[in-house]
Amino acid sequence: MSSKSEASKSRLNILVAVVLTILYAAIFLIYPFNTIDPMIGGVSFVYFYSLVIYVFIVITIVAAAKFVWGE
Amino acid sequence: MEAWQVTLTVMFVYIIFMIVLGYLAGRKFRKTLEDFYVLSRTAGFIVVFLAIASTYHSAFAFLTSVATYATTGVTWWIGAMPWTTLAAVFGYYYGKRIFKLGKAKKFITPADLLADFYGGNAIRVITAVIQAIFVIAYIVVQAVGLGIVFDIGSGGVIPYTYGSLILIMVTCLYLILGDLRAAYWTDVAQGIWMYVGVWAAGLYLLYKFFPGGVAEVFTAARAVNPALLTLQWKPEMLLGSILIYSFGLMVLPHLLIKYYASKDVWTIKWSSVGTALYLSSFYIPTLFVGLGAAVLNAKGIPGILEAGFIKALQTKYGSADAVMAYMIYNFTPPIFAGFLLAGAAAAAMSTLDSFLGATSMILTRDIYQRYVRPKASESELIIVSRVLLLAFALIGWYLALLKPGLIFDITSIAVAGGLQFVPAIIQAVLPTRRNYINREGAIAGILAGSIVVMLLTQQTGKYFGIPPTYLYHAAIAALIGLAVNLVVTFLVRALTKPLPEDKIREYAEILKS
Repeated sequence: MSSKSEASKSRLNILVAVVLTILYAAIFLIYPFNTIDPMIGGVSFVYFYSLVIYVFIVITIVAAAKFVWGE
Repeated sequence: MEAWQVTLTVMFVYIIFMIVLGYLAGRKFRKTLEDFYVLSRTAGFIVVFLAIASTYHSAFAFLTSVATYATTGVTWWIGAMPWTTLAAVFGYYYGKRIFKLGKAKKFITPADLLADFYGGNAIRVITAVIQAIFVIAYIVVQAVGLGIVFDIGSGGVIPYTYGSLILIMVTCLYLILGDLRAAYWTDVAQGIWMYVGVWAAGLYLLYKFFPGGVAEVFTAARAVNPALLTLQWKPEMLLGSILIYSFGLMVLPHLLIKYYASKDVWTIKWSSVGTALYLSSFYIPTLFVGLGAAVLNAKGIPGILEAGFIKALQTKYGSADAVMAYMIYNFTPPIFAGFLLAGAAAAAMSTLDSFLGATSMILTRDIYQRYVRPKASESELIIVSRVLLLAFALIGWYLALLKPGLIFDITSIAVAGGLQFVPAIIQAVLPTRRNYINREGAIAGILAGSIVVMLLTQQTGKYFGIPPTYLYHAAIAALIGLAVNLVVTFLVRALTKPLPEDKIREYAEILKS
């Protein structure tokens, strides 16, 4: 692998780490909005919010494995 | 045939299947320590993925998640979703490094890594002994889970005490027949069985009681107890739980050695992705059962189920962990119940086998072979390992008879102990130009953090005379322990010699390859 593509992978690795850190930190944003309403799709607001974060975490992990994580 | 006989027959079929699988695994055993412990480092994607996933999820996942959903509602998901996915992410970043170092330096136990990086035997002994002590908590909860599953699955004919003992002995039997290779093989089968089982149970019970599906169970839960639909843990409890069940659990020996067993980094990468999806999605169907149980507990079903049945289960088993098994046994057809309860047993046994195998291996390798009988033959070491395996199983069973409480609370003690090893392990697998942790610092930090966890945790602190005001859930005690650990580590590091640069360079070179 050329040093240019290694540097690019390294930058992407840092980006993945930053995105995941933000997503995990976002879990704690539930506290100011720890309410049932509005019910969205039949489930409480906090549960729906955690599902949205979950989807983003899963997408990030799969994308990182496919395009960023080596070997 | 009565319902309990049908259910029990299916469970016995499962048990025989596991023993046969263990026997077949044993026939492939090559009688070398490397094969015994880490499959000669040849495990591929399916084995590594399902072994990690099924070992991670135990009685904890199948039983206590439903119990906690039933009492604290969606709180469990808000905690478990991040810790399961983060465990997999951490598994990739540190697992590939563990793999490379293990392969290059022929490591087999976690203590091998720490003793080699930091030097000296003290850290080896401390790691082996402290991890073995904390792991007992994990063995106990599997014994509790197995006792509950067999007691309920047999309609009370085989009581908790003997049910737990029978399934523990089955686990020991297939481990003795096939050694740790049997644990890997059975983990694959159990991993599939429990995942299919939990989804089947979740969907069946959801639509049986709430034909309108998820929206209906949420609406019903809101009507009986609105708090079930919000987060009930304080931030420190949430943070502590996320850290112990991601980082703390992944560095415990039963999971760490799975990375030594992997055949390449590709396997670790895709196993991590699979693990993230498997572990987190496991808690979706248990939410259906847990919230449903909370509703049924409040309302009851005239002539079928009394309101307040969870309280009765708590009185009988010492915690609400029996809710899932109770729901399955009473509200699904007997053959289906047998299949599902076997899935619950699989969840507990797949973790128990890895813990028993890994702990006995560590004590044999790191203590017996090094300090008791350095010239022992490999056959002798394997016999010692089996004796230790049985001893740990019986200790776990005995402590389970005391009905120690909610599986989640007890498991948290073990992983809170695991968290105290994380700084020392991270420094070893991530050798930085500036050395932040040296041998003395690592030892002092691990000891300080572990002692703080033992002193401040509710279930253990009371034996040291700590007033109840200063006792916490293990997840919170783990955070305090980690803070003390880091302060002590860096202080001692500042006062003592740094690690030799050669060692750091050597590790950096291996990891670069």
